[in-house]
Amino acid sequence: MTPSAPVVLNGIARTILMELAPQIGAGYDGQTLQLTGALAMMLAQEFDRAAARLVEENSALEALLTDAQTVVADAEIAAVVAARSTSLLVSALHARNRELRGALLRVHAAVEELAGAAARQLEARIWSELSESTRRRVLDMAMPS
Amino acid sequence: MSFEAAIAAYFTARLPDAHAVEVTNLFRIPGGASRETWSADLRWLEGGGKRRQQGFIIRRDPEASLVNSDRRVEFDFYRSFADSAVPVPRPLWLETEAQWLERPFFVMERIDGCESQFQALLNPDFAPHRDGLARRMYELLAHIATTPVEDLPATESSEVPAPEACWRRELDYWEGVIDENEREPQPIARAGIRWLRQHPPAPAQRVGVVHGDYRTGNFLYVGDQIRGILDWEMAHFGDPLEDIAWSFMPAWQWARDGKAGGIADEAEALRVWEARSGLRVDPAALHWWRVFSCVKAQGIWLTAARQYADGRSQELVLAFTSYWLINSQDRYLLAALGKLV
Repeated sequence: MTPSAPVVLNGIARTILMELAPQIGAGYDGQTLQLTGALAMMLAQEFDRAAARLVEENSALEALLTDAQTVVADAEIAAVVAARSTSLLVSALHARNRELRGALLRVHAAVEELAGAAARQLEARIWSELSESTRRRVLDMAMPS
Repeated sequence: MSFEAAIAAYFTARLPDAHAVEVTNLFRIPGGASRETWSADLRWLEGGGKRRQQGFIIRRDPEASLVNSDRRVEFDFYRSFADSAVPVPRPLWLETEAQWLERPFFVMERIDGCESQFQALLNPDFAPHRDGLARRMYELLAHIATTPVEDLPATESSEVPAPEACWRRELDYWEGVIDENEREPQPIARAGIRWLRQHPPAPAQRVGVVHGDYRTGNFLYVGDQIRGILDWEMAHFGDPLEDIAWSFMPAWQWARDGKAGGIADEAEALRVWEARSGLRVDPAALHWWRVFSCVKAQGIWLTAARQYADGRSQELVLAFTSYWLINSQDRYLLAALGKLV
Protein backbone atom coordinates (compact mmCIF):
# COMPACT_ATOMS: atom_id res chain seq x y z
CA MET A 1 0.00 0.00 0.00
CA THR A 2 1.23 3.46 -0.79
CA PRO A 3 2.23 5.20 2.43
CA SER A 4 -0.22 7.95 3.33
CA ALA A 5 0.85 11.58 3.27
CA PRO A 6 0.99 11.82 7.10
CA VAL A 7 3.19 8.73 7.26
CA VAL A 8 5.59 10.17 4.70
CA LEU A 9 5.60 13.62 6.28
CA ASN A 10 6.30 12.15 9.72
CA GLY A 11 9.07 10.10 8.18
CA ILE A 12 10.56 13.24 6.72
CA ALA A 13 10.31 14.91 10.14
CA ARG A 14 12.07 12.03 11.91
CA THR A 15 14.86 11.94 9.34
CA ILE A 16 15.42 15.67 9.56
CA LEU A 17 15.12 16.06 13.32
CA MET A 18 16.91 12.90 14.45
CA GLU A 19 19.46 12.25 11.71
CA LEU A 20 20.25 15.41 9.77
CA ALA A 21 19.77 18.35 12.14
CA PRO A 22 22.11 17.00 14.85
CA GLN A 23 24.90 16.90 12.26
CA ILE A 24 24.39 20.51 11.22
CA GLY A 25 24.58 22.20 14.62
CA ALA A 26 22.76 25.11 16.20
CA GLY A 27 23.46 27.86 13.66
CA TYR A 28 21.14 29.34 11.07
CA ASP A 29 21.29 26.25 8.83
CA GLY A 30 20.61 23.92 11.75
CA GLN A 31 17.71 26.02 12.97
CA THR A 32 16.21 26.11 9.49
CA LEU A 33 16.48 22.34 9.28
CA GLN A 34 14.78 21.94 12.66
CA LEU A 35 11.97 24.23 11.55
CA THR A 36 11.58 22.17 8.39
CA GLY A 37 11.22 18.99 10.44
CA ALA A 38 8.76 20.59 12.84
CA LEU A 39 6.73 21.92 9.92
CA ALA A 40 6.56 18.47 8.38
CA MET A 41 5.14 17.14 11.66
CA MET A 42 2.52 19.87 11.77
CA LEU A 43 1.56 19.40 8.13
CA ALA A 44 1.15 15.66 8.73
CA GLN A 45 -1.42 16.35 11.43
CA GLU A 46 -3.18 19.03 9.45
CA PHE A 47 -3.32 16.87 6.32
CA ASP A 48 -5.05 14.11 8.22
CA ARG A 49 -7.53 16.16 10.21
CA ALA A 50 -8.24 19.26 8.10
CA ALA A 51 -11.44 18.05 6.44
CA ALA A 52 -12.89 16.59 9.64
CA ARG A 53 -12.04 19.71 11.63
CA LEU A 54 -13.53 22.05 9.06
CA VAL A 55 -16.71 20.01 8.57
CA GLU A 56 -17.22 19.89 12.35
CA GLU A 57 -16.55 23.59 12.80
CA ASN A 58 -18.59 24.73 9.83
CA SER A 59 -21.52 22.69 11.07
CA ALA A 60 -21.22 24.17 14.58
CA LEU A 61 -21.01 27.69 13.15
CA GLU A 62 -24.01 27.17 10.87
CA ALA A 63 -26.08 26.01 13.86
CA LEU A 64 -24.91 28.89 16.03
CA LEU A 65 -25.54 31.52 13.37
CA THR A 66 -28.95 30.08 12.59
CA ASP A 67 -29.95 30.42 16.25
CA ALA A 68 -28.30 33.86 16.48
CA GLN A 69 -30.77 35.32 14.00
CA THR A 70 -33.44 35.43 16.72
CA VAL A 71 -31.20 37.86 18.64
CA VAL A 72 -29.27 39.70 15.93
CA ALA A 73 -31.26 40.54 12.81
CA ASP A 74 -28.79 40.93 9.94
CA ALA A 75 -29.60 40.15 6.33
CA GLU A 76 -25.95 39.64 5.44
CA ILE A 77 -25.56 36.99 8.10
CA ALA A 78 -28.79 35.33 7.02
CA ALA A 79 -27.43 35.12 3.50
CA VAL A 80 -24.19 33.53 4.70
CA VAL A 81 -26.09 30.94 6.69
CA ALA A 82 -28.43 30.20 3.79
CA ALA A 83 -25.55 29.56 1.41
CA ARG A 84 -24.44 25.94 1.50
CA SER A 85 -21.45 24.19 0.05
CA THR A 86 -21.36 20.50 -0.73
CA SER A 87 -17.74 20.26 -1.79
CA LEU A 88 -15.43 18.35 0.52
CA LEU A 89 -12.29 19.80 -1.00
CA VAL A 90 -10.27 21.26 1.86
CA SER A 91 -9.93 24.51 -0.08
CA ALA A 92 -13.74 24.75 -0.37
CA LEU A 93 -14.21 23.91 3.30
CA HIS A 94 -11.68 26.61 4.18
CA ALA A 95 -13.52 29.13 2.03
CA ARG A 96 -16.81 28.27 3.76
CA ASN A 97 -15.07 28.51 7.14
CA ARG A 98 -13.84 32.01 6.31
CA GLU A 99 -17.38 33.09 5.44
CA LEU A 100 -18.80 31.63 8.62
CA ARG A 101 -16.11 32.99 10.93
CA GLY A 102 -16.54 36.40 9.35
CA ALA A 103 -20.25 36.20 10.11
CA LEU A 104 -19.51 35.02 13.65
CA LEU A 105 -17.24 38.02 14.17
CA ARG A 106 -20.02 40.31 12.99
CA VAL A 107 -22.63 38.71 15.26
CA HIS A 108 -20.24 38.83 18.22
CA ALA A 109 -19.62 42.55 17.81
CA ALA A 110 -23.36 43.19 17.43
CA VAL A 111 -24.50 41.12 20.39
CA GLU A 112 -22.02 42.86 22.72
CA GLU A 113 -24.04 46.01 22.19
CA LEU A 114 -27.37 44.40 23.06
CA ALA A 115 -28.96 44.11 26.50
CA GLY A 116 -30.96 41.19 27.83
CA ALA A 117 -30.60 37.57 28.80
CA ALA A 118 -30.87 36.24 25.25
CA ALA A 119 -27.99 38.45 24.17
CA ARG A 120 -25.84 37.32 27.09
CA GLN A 121 -26.63 33.67 26.36
CA LEU A 122 -25.67 34.10 22.73
CA GLU A 123 -22.50 35.91 23.71
CA ALA A 124 -21.55 33.09 26.07
CA ARG A 125 -22.20 30.56 23.31
CA ILE A 126 -19.96 32.52 20.92
CA TRP A 127 -17.12 32.60 23.44
CA SER A 128 -17.55 28.88 23.96
CA GLU A 129 -17.35 28.25 20.22
CA LEU A 130 -14.27 30.47 19.89
CA SER A 131 -12.57 28.56 22.67
CA GLU A 132 -13.54 25.27 21.04
CA SER A 133 -12.23 26.50 17.70
CA THR A 134 -8.76 26.90 19.21
CA ARG A 135 -8.91 23.43 20.76
CA ARG A 136 -9.66 22.00 17.32
CA ARG A 137 -6.52 23.65 15.96
CA VAL A 138 -4.06 22.58 18.66
CA LEU A 139 -1.09 20.72 17.21
CA ASP A 140 0.77 17.95 19.00
CA MET A 141 4.50 18.55 18.77
CA ALA A 142 5.58 15.24 20.30
CA MET A 143 7.92 13.33 18.02
CA PRO A 144 5.90 10.78 16.00
CA SER A 145 6.78 7.13 16.65
CA MET B 1 30.71 39.96 -6.05
CA SER B 2 30.38 37.53 -3.14
CA PHE B 3 28.78 38.66 0.10
CA GLU B 4 32.18 38.48 1.84
CA ALA B 5 33.75 40.63 -0.86
CA ALA B 6 30.93 43.16 -0.64
CA ILE B 7 31.40 43.38 3.12
CA ALA B 8 35.15 43.78 2.71
CA ALA B 9 34.61 46.59 0.20
CA TYR B 10 32.20 48.31 2.55
CA PHE B 11 34.50 48.15 5.56
CA THR B 12 37.43 49.31 3.44
CA ALA B 13 35.44 52.43 2.72
CA ARG B 14 34.16 52.87 6.26
CA LEU B 15 37.07 52.01 8.54
CA PRO B 16 39.48 54.92 8.78
CA ASP B 17 42.70 54.41 6.86
CA ALA B 18 42.04 50.70 6.37
CA HIS B 19 43.37 48.44 3.63
CA ALA B 20 43.88 44.72 3.06
CA VAL B 21 40.52 44.10 4.74
CA GLU B 22 39.73 40.40 5.19
CA VAL B 23 36.38 38.95 6.18
CA THR B 24 36.33 35.59 7.95
CA ASN B 25 33.82 33.54 9.95
CA LEU B 26 30.90 35.17 8.21
CA PHE B 27 27.67 33.49 9.25
CA ARG B 28 24.04 34.30 9.71
CA ILE B 29 22.78 34.23 13.29
CA PRO B 30 19.54 32.27 13.78
CA GLY B 31 16.48 34.07 15.04
CA GLY B 32 16.01 37.78 14.52
CA ALA B 33 13.34 37.23 11.89
CA SER B 34 12.69 40.94 11.55
CA ARG B 35 16.16 41.53 10.09
CA GLU B 36 18.94 39.31 8.84
CA THR B 37 21.65 39.31 11.47
CA TRP B 38 25.16 38.48 10.27
CA SER B 39 28.32 38.04 12.30
CA ALA B 40 31.74 38.65 10.75
CA ASP B 41 35.34 38.77 11.91
CA LEU B 42 37.38 41.45 10.18
CA ARG B 43 41.15 41.86 9.93
CA TRP B 44 42.73 44.86 8.33
CA LEU B 45 45.89 46.94 8.14
CA GLU B 46 45.99 50.55 9.21
CA GLY B 47 48.15 53.21 7.62
CA GLY B 48 51.22 52.53 9.74
CA GLY B 49 51.04 48.85 8.95
CA LYS B 50 49.38 48.02 12.25
CA ARG B 51 47.24 44.88 12.06
CA ARG B 52 43.74 45.25 13.55
CA GLN B 53 40.92 42.77 14.03
CA GLN B 54 37.41 43.04 15.41
CA GLY B 55 34.04 41.31 15.32
CA PHE B 56 31.03 43.10 13.86
CA ILE B 57 27.31 42.52 13.58
CA ILE B 58 25.44 43.50 10.43
CA ARG B 59 21.67 43.91 10.64
CA ARG B 60 20.40 43.84 7.07
CA ASP B 61 16.84 44.46 5.94
CA PRO B 62 15.17 41.23 4.86
CA GLU B 63 13.30 40.69 1.63
CA ALA B 64 10.22 40.34 3.85
CA SER B 65 9.78 40.20 7.58
CA LEU B 66 7.36 39.45 10.37
CA VAL B 67 7.93 42.96 11.71
CA ASN B 68 7.87 45.91 9.38
CA SER B 69 10.10 48.24 11.31
CA ASP B 70 12.17 51.28 10.51
CA ARG B 71 15.88 50.55 10.68
CA ARG B 72 16.62 54.16 11.60
CA VAL B 73 14.37 53.92 14.64
CA GLU B 74 16.14 50.77 15.78
CA PHE B 75 19.55 52.32 15.16
CA ASP B 76 18.60 55.46 17.09
CA PHE B 77 17.48 53.45 20.12
CA TYR B 78 20.83 51.64 20.09
CA ARG B 79 22.47 55.08 19.94
CA SER B 80 20.33 56.18 22.85
CA PHE B 81 21.78 53.57 25.16
CA ALA B 82 25.36 53.34 23.88
CA ASP B 83 27.79 53.90 26.79
CA SER B 84 24.94 53.94 29.29
CA ALA B 85 24.08 51.69 32.24
CA VAL B 86 21.86 49.73 29.85
CA PRO B 87 24.27 47.49 27.94
CA VAL B 88 23.86 47.45 24.17
CA PRO B 89 26.22 46.72 21.29
CA ARG B 90 27.76 49.98 20.13
CA PRO B 91 26.07 51.11 16.90
CA LEU B 92 28.50 52.30 14.24
CA TRP B 93 26.99 53.06 10.85
CA LEU B 94 23.54 53.16 9.32
CA GLU B 95 23.30 52.63 5.57
CA THR B 96 19.95 53.45 4.06
CA GLU B 97 20.94 52.82 0.45
CA ALA B 98 21.25 49.45 -1.27
CA GLN B 99 24.59 50.17 -2.91
CA TRP B 100 26.76 48.11 -0.55
CA LEU B 101 24.85 44.96 0.41
CA GLU B 102 21.84 45.08 -1.92
CA ARG B 103 19.58 46.17 0.91
CA PRO B 104 19.84 48.76 3.71
CA PHE B 105 21.61 47.71 6.90
CA PHE B 106 23.40 48.94 9.97
CA VAL B 107 26.57 47.83 11.67
CA MET B 108 27.31 47.33 15.35
CA GLU B 109 30.26 46.16 17.36
CA ARG B 110 29.92 42.53 18.37
CA ILE B 111 29.80 41.54 22.03
CA ASP B 112 31.67 38.25 22.33
CA GLY B 113 31.60 35.43 24.84
CA CYS B 114 27.89 35.48 25.63
CA GLU B 115 24.89 33.23 25.31
CA SER B 116 21.67 34.49 23.78
CA GLN B 117 19.49 31.48 23.07
CA PHE B 118 16.64 31.01 25.54
CA GLN B 119 17.04 27.22 25.34
CA ALA B 120 20.24 27.47 27.36
CA LEU B 121 18.26 29.00 30.22
CA LEU B 122 16.35 25.75 30.59
CA ASN B 123 19.48 23.64 30.94
CA PRO B 124 19.68 22.23 34.49
CA ASP B 125 23.25 23.49 34.71
CA PHE B 126 21.93 27.03 34.38
CA ALA B 127 19.48 26.71 37.29
CA PRO B 128 21.74 28.44 39.87
CA HIS B 129 21.80 31.60 37.71
CA ARG B 130 18.10 31.93 36.88
CA ASP B 131 16.99 34.01 39.86
CA GLY B 132 19.90 36.39 39.53
CA LEU B 133 19.41 36.77 35.80
CA ALA B 134 15.70 37.42 36.29
CA ARG B 135 16.48 40.10 38.87
CA ARG B 136 18.97 41.76 36.52
CA MET B 137 16.47 41.57 33.64
CA TYR B 138 13.89 43.61 35.55
CA GLU B 139 16.45 45.98 37.09
CA LEU B 140 17.57 46.89 33.59
CA LEU B 141 13.99 47.19 32.41
CA ALA B 142 13.37 49.66 35.23
CA HIS B 143 16.44 51.57 34.10
CA ILE B 144 15.18 51.68 30.52
CA ALA B 145 11.77 52.86 31.72
CA THR B 146 13.15 55.69 33.83
CA THR B 147 15.81 56.96 31.44
CA PRO B 148 14.95 60.62 30.72
CA VAL B 149 13.75 60.77 27.16
CA GLU B 150 14.23 64.44 26.30
CA ASP B 151 17.75 64.34 24.94
CA LEU B 152 17.89 60.80 23.62
CA PRO B 153 18.93 60.35 19.99
CA ALA B 154 15.78 58.27 19.53
CA THR B 155 13.71 61.45 19.73
CA GLU B 156 15.15 62.33 16.30
CA SER B 157 13.12 59.54 14.70
CA SER B 158 10.36 58.69 17.21
CA GLU B 159 7.64 60.88 18.67
CA VAL B 160 7.06 61.08 22.40
CA PRO B 161 3.32 60.67 23.04
CA ALA B 162 1.34 62.25 25.85
CA PRO B 163 0.76 59.89 28.82
CA GLU B 164 -2.93 59.50 28.02
CA ALA B 165 -2.21 58.76 24.34
CA CYS B 166 0.17 55.82 24.78
CA TRP B 167 -2.36 53.01 24.76
CA ARG B 168 -4.41 54.29 21.86
CA ARG B 169 -1.41 54.92 19.65
CA GLU B 170 -0.11 51.38 20.10
CA LEU B 171 -3.53 49.79 19.73
CA ASP B 172 -4.29 51.80 16.58
CA TYR B 173 -0.98 50.76 15.07
CA TRP B 174 -1.34 47.05 15.77
CA GLU B 175 -4.98 46.95 14.76
CA GLY B 176 -3.80 48.43 11.47
CA VAL B 177 -1.19 45.68 11.15
CA ILE B 178 -3.93 43.07 11.57
CA ASP B 179 -6.17 44.91 9.09
CA GLU B 180 -3.38 44.83 6.56
CA ASN B 181 -2.18 41.27 7.03
CA GLU B 182 -5.04 39.00 8.05
CA ARG B 183 -5.86 36.48 5.34
CA GLU B 184 -9.06 35.34 7.00
CA PRO B 185 -11.36 36.70 9.72
CA GLN B 186 -9.83 36.84 13.19
CA PRO B 187 -12.82 36.74 15.55
CA ILE B 188 -10.71 36.29 18.69
CA ALA B 189 -8.23 39.06 17.96
CA ARG B 190 -11.09 41.38 16.98
CA ALA B 191 -12.92 40.59 20.22
CA GLY B 192 -9.70 41.41 22.06
CA ILE B 193 -9.41 44.73 20.26
CA ARG B 194 -13.01 45.62 21.13
CA TRP B 195 -12.34 44.77 24.78
CA LEU B 196 -9.21 46.93 24.77
CA ARG B 197 -11.11 49.92 23.41
CA GLN B 198 -13.90 49.44 25.92
CA HIS B 199 -11.52 49.22 28.92
CA PRO B 200 -8.73 51.77 28.37
CA PRO B 201 -5.97 51.87 30.99
CA ALA B 202 -5.08 54.82 33.18
CA PRO B 203 -2.62 57.25 31.56
CA ALA B 204 1.00 56.19 31.78
CA GLN B 205 2.67 57.27 35.05
CA ARG B 206 5.57 58.42 32.95
CA VAL B 207 6.37 58.21 29.29
CA GLY B 208 9.60 56.31 28.81
CA VAL B 209 11.49 54.13 26.41
CA VAL B 210 9.62 50.94 25.59
CA HIS B 211 11.91 48.28 24.14
CA GLY B 212 8.97 46.62 22.44
CA ASP B 213 10.30 43.05 22.50
CA TYR B 214 11.81 42.73 25.98
CA ARG B 215 12.11 39.05 26.80
CA THR B 216 14.56 36.24 27.27
CA GLY B 217 16.09 35.41 23.92
CA ASN B 218 16.63 39.08 23.15
CA PHE B 219 19.63 39.77 25.33
CA LEU B 220 23.18 38.48 25.67
CA TYR B 221 24.07 37.00 29.03
CA VAL B 222 26.80 35.26 30.95
CA GLY B 223 25.59 33.54 34.11
CA ASP B 224 23.36 36.07 35.85
CA GLN B 225 24.87 39.06 34.05
CA ILE B 226 23.32 40.75 31.02
CA ARG B 227 25.96 42.06 28.63
CA GLY B 228 23.82 43.36 25.78
CA ILE B 229 20.15 44.07 25.14
CA LEU B 230 19.29 43.39 21.51
CA ASP B 231 16.46 43.58 18.99
CA TRP B 232 15.20 47.14 19.44
CA GLU B 233 13.28 47.04 16.15
CA MET B 234 9.94 47.66 17.87
CA ALA B 235 11.24 50.25 20.35
CA HIS B 236 9.23 53.40 20.87
CA PHE B 237 8.27 55.88 23.56
CA GLY B 238 5.26 54.91 25.62
CA ASP B 239 3.93 53.37 28.81
CA PRO B 240 6.65 51.29 30.51
CA LEU B 241 4.04 48.78 31.67
CA GLU B 242 3.89 47.63 28.05
CA ASP B 243 7.34 46.04 28.32
CA ILE B 244 6.50 44.29 31.58
CA ALA B 245 3.32 42.79 30.16
CA TRP B 246 5.10 41.70 26.98
CA SER B 247 7.85 39.99 28.97
CA PHE B 248 5.19 38.07 30.93
CA MET B 249 3.41 36.72 27.86
CA PRO B 250 2.77 32.95 27.94
CA ALA B 251 4.44 32.56 24.54
CA TRP B 252 7.78 33.19 26.24
CA GLN B 253 7.12 30.90 29.21
CA TRP B 254 9.52 28.46 27.63
CA ALA B 255 9.37 25.88 30.41
CA ARG B 256 5.54 26.07 30.59
CA ASP B 257 5.87 26.48 34.35
CA GLY B 258 4.42 29.98 34.62
CA LYS B 259 7.85 31.59 34.85
CA ALA B 260 8.18 34.65 32.63
CA GLY B 261 10.78 33.98 29.97
CA GLY B 262 11.48 30.64 31.63
CA ILE B 263 13.24 32.32 34.57
CA ALA B 264 11.18 34.97 36.37
CA ASP B 265 8.50 34.76 39.00
CA GLU B 266 6.08 37.52 38.06
CA ALA B 267 5.47 38.84 41.58
CA GLU B 268 9.21 39.05 42.26
CA ALA B 269 9.82 40.69 38.88
CA LEU B 270 7.24 43.36 39.68
CA ARG B 271 8.77 43.91 43.12
CA VAL B 272 12.23 44.38 41.60
CA TRP B 273 10.93 46.69 38.87
CA GLU B 274 8.92 48.87 41.27
CA ALA B 275 11.81 49.13 43.75
CA ARG B 276 14.31 50.09 41.05
CA SER B 277 12.06 52.40 39.03
CA GLY B 278 10.16 54.12 41.81
CA LEU B 279 7.05 53.58 39.73
CA ARG B 280 3.98 51.61 40.71
CA VAL B 281 2.42 48.84 38.66
CA ASP B 282 -1.32 49.40 38.46
CA PRO B 283 -2.78 45.85 38.22
CA ALA B 284 -5.67 46.96 35.99
CA ALA B 285 -3.33 48.76 33.60
CA LEU B 286 -0.94 45.81 33.56
CA HIS B 287 -3.85 43.54 32.69
CA TRP B 288 -4.80 45.85 29.83
CA TRP B 289 -1.23 45.65 28.50
CA ARG B 290 -1.27 41.85 28.84
CA VAL B 291 -4.34 41.67 26.62
CA PHE B 292 -2.76 44.19 24.28
CA SER B 293 0.42 42.10 24.09
CA CYS B 294 -1.62 39.16 22.82
CA VAL B 295 -3.15 41.35 20.10
CA LYS B 296 0.23 42.80 19.14
CA ALA B 297 1.84 39.36 18.98
CA GLN B 298 -1.02 38.14 16.80
CA GLY B 299 -0.35 41.08 14.50
CA ILE B 300 3.24 39.87 14.18
CA TRP B 301 2.29 36.24 13.53
CA LEU B 302 -0.34 37.25 10.95
CA THR B 303 2.26 39.38 9.20
CA ALA B 304 4.57 36.37 9.05
CA ALA B 305 1.81 34.23 7.59
CA ARG B 306 1.00 36.89 5.02
CA GLN B 307 4.60 37.32 3.91
CA TYR B 308 5.05 33.61 3.36
CA ALA B 309 1.66 32.97 1.79
CA ASP B 310 2.09 35.85 -0.64
CA GLY B 311 5.51 34.57 -1.67
CA ARG B 312 7.32 37.66 -0.44
CA SER B 313 9.63 35.48 1.61
CA GLN B 314 10.75 31.87 1.58
CA GLU B 315 11.97 32.02 5.20
CA LEU B 316 10.60 28.86 6.79
CA VAL B 317 10.44 30.54 10.18
CA LEU B 318 7.52 32.54 8.82
CA ALA B 319 5.62 29.39 7.79
CA PHE B 320 6.43 27.76 11.12
CA THR B 321 5.18 30.84 12.93
CA SER B 322 1.90 30.66 11.03
CA TYR B 323 1.20 27.05 11.91
CA TRP B 324 2.46 27.09 15.47
CA LEU B 325 1.81 30.52 16.91
CA ILE B 326 -1.40 31.97 15.48
CA ASN B 327 -3.65 29.45 17.21
CA SER B 328 -1.51 29.44 20.36
CA GLN B 329 -1.80 33.21 20.50
CA ASP B 330 -5.57 33.01 20.17
CA ARG B 331 -5.59 30.70 23.19
CA TYR B 332 -3.37 33.07 25.19
CA LEU B 333 -5.71 35.94 24.34
CA LEU B 334 -8.79 33.95 25.33
CA ALA B 335 -7.07 33.10 28.62
CA ALA B 336 -6.18 36.75 29.24
CA LEU B 337 -9.82 37.65 28.67
CA GLY B 338 -10.97 34.86 31.00
CA LYS B 339 -12.72 33.08 28.14
CA LEU B 340 -10.61 29.98 27.56
CA VAL B 341 -12.70 26.94 28.48
